[in-house]
Amino acid sequence: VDVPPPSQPGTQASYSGQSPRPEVPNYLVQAILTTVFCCLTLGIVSIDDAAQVNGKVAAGDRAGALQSSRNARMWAWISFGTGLVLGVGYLLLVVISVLAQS
Amino acid sequence: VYRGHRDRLGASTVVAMAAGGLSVIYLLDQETSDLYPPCPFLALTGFYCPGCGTLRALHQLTRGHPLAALDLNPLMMLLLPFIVYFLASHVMLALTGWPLRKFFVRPALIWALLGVVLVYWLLRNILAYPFTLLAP
Repeated sequence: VDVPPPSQPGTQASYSGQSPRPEVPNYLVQAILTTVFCCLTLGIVSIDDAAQVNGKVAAGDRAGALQSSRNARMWAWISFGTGLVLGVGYLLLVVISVLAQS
Repeated sequence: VYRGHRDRLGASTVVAMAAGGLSVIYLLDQETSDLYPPCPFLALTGFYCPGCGTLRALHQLTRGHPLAALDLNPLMMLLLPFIVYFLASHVMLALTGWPLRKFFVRPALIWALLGVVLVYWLLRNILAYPFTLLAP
């Protein structure tokens, strides 16, 4: 795995060309969780956005990275939300059908 | 860098949710319990998604059957160390205020992951050996 950029604000950068500003979150973990661990695989859009975040960070495009970061977070939430709604809806149907039979 | 109480509280919440989720996964067997929803993508389209088999695999894993878990969703098992590191970092952050070291993942690696997920999605729906190994 690659070298980590310094994320400590206020401390001097230990790698040349790296910004000492707070890092831009890429939500890669959330993207993977909502793609391979649950939900409707809409998290796959998040993986794309996560790649764009790190690509733009590496290219020095901080504004673009922040925009992709927001997209990554949004799509992870959309994927999680639809998964949650469908899951809870299914659970309600199960409960209702059990109650209806008794 | 040392984090404040808010970050530690957030990390504690993440850890508590993960522990709760894993407890449910450990206790309930998807094969016999009606409480688990089917994969919405599978239910809607009839095709497996990259996440199909993950809950069953995690159940097998908590019961000490890693090979059964690998059989159900190999891609999930491949990505699991990444998730475990994320959780371990949150445990550390909650307990000590210091998360584990963060790694900058090269963009090319994330693009490769995207490709792998898409190809995996496609291949595990081919109903012929050896692709059936990828199906849950």
